Amino acid sequence: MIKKIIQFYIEGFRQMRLGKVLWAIIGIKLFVMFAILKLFFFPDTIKNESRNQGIDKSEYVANEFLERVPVQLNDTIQPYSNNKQTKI
Amino acid sequence: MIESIPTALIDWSRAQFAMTAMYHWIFVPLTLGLAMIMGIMETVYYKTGDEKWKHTARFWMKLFGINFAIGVATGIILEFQFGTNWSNYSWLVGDIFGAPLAIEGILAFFMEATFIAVMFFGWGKVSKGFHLASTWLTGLGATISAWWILVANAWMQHPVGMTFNPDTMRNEMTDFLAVATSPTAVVKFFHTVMSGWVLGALFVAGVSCYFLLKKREMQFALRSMKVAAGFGLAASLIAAFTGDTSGYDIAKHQPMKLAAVEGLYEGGNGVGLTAVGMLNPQKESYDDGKEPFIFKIDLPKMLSFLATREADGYVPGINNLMKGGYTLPDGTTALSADEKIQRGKIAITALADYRKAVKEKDSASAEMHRKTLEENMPYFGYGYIKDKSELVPNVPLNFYAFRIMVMLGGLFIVYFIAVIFLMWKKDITRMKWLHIASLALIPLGYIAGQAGWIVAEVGRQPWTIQDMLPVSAAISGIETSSVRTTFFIFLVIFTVMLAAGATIMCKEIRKGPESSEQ
Repeated sequence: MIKKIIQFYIEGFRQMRLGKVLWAIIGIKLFVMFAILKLFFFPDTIKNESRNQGIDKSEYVANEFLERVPVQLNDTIQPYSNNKQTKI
Repeated sequence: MIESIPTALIDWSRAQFAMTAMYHWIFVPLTLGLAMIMGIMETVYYKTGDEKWKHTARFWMKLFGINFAIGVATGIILEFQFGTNWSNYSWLVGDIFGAPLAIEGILAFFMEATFIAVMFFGWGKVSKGFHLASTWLTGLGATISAWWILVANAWMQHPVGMTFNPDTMRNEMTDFLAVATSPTAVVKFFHTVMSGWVLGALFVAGVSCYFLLKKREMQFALRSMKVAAGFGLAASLIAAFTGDTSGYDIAKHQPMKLAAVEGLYEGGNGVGLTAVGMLNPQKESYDDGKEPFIFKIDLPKMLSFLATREADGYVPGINNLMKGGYTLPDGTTALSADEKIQRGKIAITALADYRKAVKEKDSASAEMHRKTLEENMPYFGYGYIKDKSELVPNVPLNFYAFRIMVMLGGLFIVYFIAVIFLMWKKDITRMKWLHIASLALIPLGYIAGQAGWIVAEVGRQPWTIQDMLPVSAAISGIETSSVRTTFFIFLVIFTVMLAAGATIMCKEIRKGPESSEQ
């Protein structure tokens, strides 16, 4: 059974005409994506930065979120006293 | 501790993501549409045993294969960008997106990859029934893939089924079914997949008309036209219906998007829908007092009806959403933008205090801050908003993109009805105008789909996740120049790929169905 399936694929690939060109395109594309783009242009930002800073990933992300606020935390914030039933 | 994120970094990162997504969406809808059409054609062959239908199905399968080969894996680039350019976002949603994307990868993609081989290699080697099943399962695999991707996207429009864990800084899934079957996901799936089916039908009709125009393969072209027109009409009508449902969903969960799409600054009861209009280019801000339109024609009360299912229902405009104070459908009062921003800042402060208390092992204080965080979490993202005008998405882009999508959708319905009527009553083989019009509609099908995505994504701005995470907090603090460089690398790669795909496709179309046995 397995031999038949393998034979089915081998014959299928052997008889391809246009398919060979398409497979070549897929191969080149995957090579460019994973061996060039991913490797050299798309590093894992959180992994690298957290390692550089010697902290764990969640700590790094927490710092990112806390440092992005456009004003100093606790600077302008007043306790919220509106009707608690209100929402969007 | 203020970290400034340059606007240029946000713009280039958004541009790069948008470009990649738009290229990806050139291939996906045709895959979805052609998969169904060739499935229908092969089913007719299976039922009737008529070799002509087999011949017809094989030609469209060949074009499906070209489109699939050029388009496959273009979506992976988006995942690269998540990890590098949008790492904060990626971390925050990791637990939610992990499940749908893993299912998409393991189940749907492998199903598609397995049966596509049987579909192409199996003619004459497997039984007719098994081959037909493989063809349908290839299409089903592509459609299931779309489902999970759209579940992830719908979650960004209306996040449900999760809770934020301040220890891990992740949203954790608490209800898989709520995520997988949220009304936003369901309606998005049907509307998006239908748009792919419409494009598939337009493509088949257009290419068939190319043969009619060249006076070649006339019977093959007429057979294909019959399937395309019936299938296209059904898909267009369902797309129109799901578009309406999608609008209702947006009115409930993303009222600012709806207001931007309509150019509606002052809402009210019994609001009309702008059928045709031209926005005033002088209007630069929501509160500059300038008239939003140079001219417009309204359909009375229609927007209220579409948004609330009541002709006199209340629809808030941009200014109303900013000021708040109006009564919501559940009887509560809407907060103003300032109030939401204040509560967002309280949430972020509570997060900082919670983490500090945990580090200091002060459990009572940690519990108190956690409670404050949970109470204000629905407004978390507003804490990052510097100027409330940031809360208004690009009105002209949304307004015109929406109208392009809707008008083209209407045109496609009229077109498919006309083709069915003409094929029934007359001989279309000599109608040169119809052949040319059908060819011209192929690019319009792509434009309609892209316009739809512009409304979905630009309309959600400034959010990556609605109300939870604006782009300014979601983005990685990386060099703008590196994002700009990769933008141009992608532009070149995608353009070369698209040109290669189009060249191969046109060459095979010119050869005609005779070559599809190869």
